[in-house]
Amino acid sequence: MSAHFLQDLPCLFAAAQDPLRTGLTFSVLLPPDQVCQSARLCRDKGYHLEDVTVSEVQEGTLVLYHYDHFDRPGRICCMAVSLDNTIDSIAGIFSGADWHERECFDFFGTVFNGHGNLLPLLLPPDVQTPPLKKPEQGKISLTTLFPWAQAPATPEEA
Amino acid sequence: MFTREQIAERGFYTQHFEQGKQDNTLILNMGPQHPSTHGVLRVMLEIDGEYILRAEPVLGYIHRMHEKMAEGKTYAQFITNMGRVDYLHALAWNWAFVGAVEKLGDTPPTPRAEYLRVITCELNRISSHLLWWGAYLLDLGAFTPILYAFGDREELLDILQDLTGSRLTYASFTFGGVVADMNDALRERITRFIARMRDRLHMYKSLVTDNFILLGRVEDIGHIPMDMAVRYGATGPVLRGSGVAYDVRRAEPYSVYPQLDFIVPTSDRTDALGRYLVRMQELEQSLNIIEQAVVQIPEGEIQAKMPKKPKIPAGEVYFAVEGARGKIGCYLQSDGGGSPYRIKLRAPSFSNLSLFAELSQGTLLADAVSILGSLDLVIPEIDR
Repeated sequence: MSAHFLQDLPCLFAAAQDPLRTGLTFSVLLPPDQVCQSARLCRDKGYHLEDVTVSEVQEGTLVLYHYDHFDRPGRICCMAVSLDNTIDSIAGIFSGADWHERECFDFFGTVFNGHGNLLPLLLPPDVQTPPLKKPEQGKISLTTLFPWAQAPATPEEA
Repeated sequence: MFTREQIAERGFYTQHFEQGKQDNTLILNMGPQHPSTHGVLRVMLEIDGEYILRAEPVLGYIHRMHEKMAEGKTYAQFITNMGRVDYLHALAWNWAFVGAVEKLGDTPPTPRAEYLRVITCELNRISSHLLWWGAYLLDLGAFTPILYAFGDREELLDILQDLTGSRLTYASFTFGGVVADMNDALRERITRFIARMRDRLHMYKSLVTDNFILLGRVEDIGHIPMDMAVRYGATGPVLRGSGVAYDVRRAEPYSVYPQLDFIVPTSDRTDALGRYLVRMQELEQSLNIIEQAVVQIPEGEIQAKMPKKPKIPAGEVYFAVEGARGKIGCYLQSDGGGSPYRIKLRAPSFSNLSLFAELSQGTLLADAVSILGSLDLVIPEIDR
């Protein structure tokens, strides 16, 4: 399914994907302050949240939101890079994000602003270093992960 | 992170939960060693008499950090971890990881291996549903059915042992294929098992499903409306029990499932009975799939020609399969090296359990046990 409804957002990069090669139909890189708006749009369009996850890249903390649709299947990925390891919570929009965000807080120390119950979920509360944090020299860049993001593209061009 | 003083001061989960306590209510700690929480799940409950006011699951008692282990292992070494995430439907987790690597590396398995994967994965789904059926009824106070279920499951596990080399923690899928082939004798045993199981399902129905004692415990208990399922991302029989015909095998077709004839059972009841009925019908559908697959399976290699250390190009991929509990997802990021850069394992029980706090509000404590059982939770999959 086309995910062009995301084109109204100020995307940094957006591209249609080949689901046979990536399992995704559409990927979009957003400014961090747009993740809630993108979640609201997905909610309005009937998408459900598959998961929220984090990956560390040279540019900062990459937070990924995977959405899919029960009636019109086609996975879309909304992403945002946070420079200070914080981002707005979408738990108020998708209740299921509550635990996913707590898990990201456990594994990466990512703080989700506005989350009402950001307690450790899977790890003991006295863990000092989030286990999935990578050393600086071990991080790769966004362009390695997403070759499609090398050249800006609007959803229409994609 | 939290300091030792903060942890001591707040007593963490218990004291945190007690902060919102009302007068004349009781805080009850259910688990992590409670028989009906299956594994090591802890649920804190605030109850008013027999009624639940608030519930909060506490997770992490069997957390193993599989996602961290993946970053320190080669792709091939990590397959054994996939047998230990969901111990009841381990082959679906095998498939999710192996499928993601194959998709990113563009190294599809051989046609015969595809069918062998379908056969073993569906047999594994049946063994998972049988264990759920027996254990759920045990939760509800019926002891006999689990003995029947385990009798059938033993025969099934004998077949799976010969097909995969294991009885529980399977790791029989490899990049480009599977580790063992099916001979004529095994095919004959599978055919006999299908016939026997169909007969047993009739008995299960007359003994249990139509029994008014069961209906009293599952009818109109734990209604999950469609909106709640969407908000929490529920999948699998929990979603289909709310009337949504969403099954990854049909929605996001993989392997040879498009060539196999089966229906996606649903129920509009939205309650625990709806989820029960969906799983019972899924047993029949899995038998249908296996029956077709053992006939259609082509001759040929069970393993595609692959280098010993497959080179996975840099990039990302998401591969999802339908497990016994719902959508299993493997999101993989590769930097082109010998180990995954980042793996995210999407466990269906994780999302399915997250709706329990909302679902159990206002229900009887005894019904919460019925609701938990109807979600078919596997805690190691949630904790990972």
